[in-house]
Amino acid sequence: MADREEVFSALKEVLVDRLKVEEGSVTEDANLFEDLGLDSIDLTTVVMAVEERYGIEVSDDELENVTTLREATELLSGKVAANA
Amino acid sequence: MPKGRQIAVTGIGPVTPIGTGVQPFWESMREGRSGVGPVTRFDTERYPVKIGAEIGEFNIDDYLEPRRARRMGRFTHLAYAATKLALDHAELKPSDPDPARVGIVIGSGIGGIALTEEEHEVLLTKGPRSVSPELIAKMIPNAAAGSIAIELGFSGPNDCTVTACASSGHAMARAIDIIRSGAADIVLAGGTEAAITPLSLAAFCTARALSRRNDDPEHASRPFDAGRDGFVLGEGSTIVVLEAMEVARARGAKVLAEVLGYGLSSDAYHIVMPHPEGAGASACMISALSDAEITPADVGYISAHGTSTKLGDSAEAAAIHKVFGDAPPPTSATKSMTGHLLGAAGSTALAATVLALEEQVLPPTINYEEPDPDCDLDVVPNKARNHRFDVAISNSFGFGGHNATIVLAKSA
Repeated sequence: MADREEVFSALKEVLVDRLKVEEGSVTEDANLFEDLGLDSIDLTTVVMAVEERYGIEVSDDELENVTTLREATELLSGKVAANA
Repeated sequence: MPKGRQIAVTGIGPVTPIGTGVQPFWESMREGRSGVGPVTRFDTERYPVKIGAEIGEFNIDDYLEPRRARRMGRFTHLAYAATKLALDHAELKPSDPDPARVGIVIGSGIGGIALTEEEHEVLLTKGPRSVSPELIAKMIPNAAAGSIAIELGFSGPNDCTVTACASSGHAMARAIDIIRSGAADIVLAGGTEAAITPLSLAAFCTARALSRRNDDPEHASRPFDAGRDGFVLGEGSTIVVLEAMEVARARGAKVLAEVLGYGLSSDAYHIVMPHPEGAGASACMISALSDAEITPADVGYISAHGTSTKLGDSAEAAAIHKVFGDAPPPTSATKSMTGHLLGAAGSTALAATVLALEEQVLPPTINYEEPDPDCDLDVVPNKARNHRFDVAISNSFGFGGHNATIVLAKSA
């Protein structure tokens, strides 16, 4: 069962390996858009990769309010837990 | 359109199967080297054609941060690298000119077909929810021109021409119009293509457009030779810096060649077959000479479209005879060396023509062994040739019946 930390690592992996985000800048407090330079398509790309990994689904409405990596981690790990 | 402004070519950026950057590219042209070899990008076991003209070593990280590069497909990567090389060659820093006075016109025949193929596989195997949200933004043929403007900040007119193998000929024609009209002082123009992909190769195979000389790749592309059996699918990008002459002179730029004009036409005949007498092609060349205000007798070299197909080469030869009479000027086909770069073919051949004018050396048509009576031309066979000449034309023709001819003159 994936816990919160594991989901964070998964997000980090996609951000660094696929989106080529500087590893050092990937912290829980990072603002996905202002600090990491993502746009909405990048965020969708990241979320899709995590969705696939854990077999979960996140709606557009749920993503609407996500701006920090912490919020993304909370949302996704919550989904994973609910799916368990 | 009123002409008014003279136009200079001040930079060239070739990223091609025979070399990346002006020096390697021109050295290969002078030496008559072939860029054709076995296709290495995927398994061609089930394909009747196993050869192509791939770019050897290419790493976009040498040109652009990975963070930026990942938003682009390979055809945009090639165009970005070609643009940077062209700017360097023109000794133009992106920060130098007023960005609003710099335009970009980059054509592509098929854009990001590789990405479309990959995501279609995802659609079939994983379903619609798994298809990349980046697909459209990366695969549209105009992504190259758009992305390069984003990276370099050039905010002048930005356009993409999509006329198959004439795409970069049309891109340069469009660029000439933009400069003549005064809408920009500098236009980065050319084409890009990265279509050596499983689907694209399969379709060109079934269309019977390609040479099947799998055992002898270097001799597969043989324009105007009696033994030609189709073109060789290539990839690459060439971007040229076109600049209003007065602007180029004012900044002390080296003028590599002058652009005298262009012509455009349509065969209005068949979607892939050329008009058998080359009617569209001859009209295109005549229109170009008229725009340049010169006569056929002024032309000292023709850079042929010459792809190495049976019908295409003989139609072009007929068109050349129609325009230039019994003794046309020397006419070489650089696709004998580069393979067919589709949307990047016109600007790649034009780059060779600029260098030919500058060096007064004609690039050869290699693999020319047996003359074809239907292609009765001086094709500068097999070896580069010293040649004194002042004016050249460069032809590009494409599926769809699109024709474009650009006229260049030696720098005064």
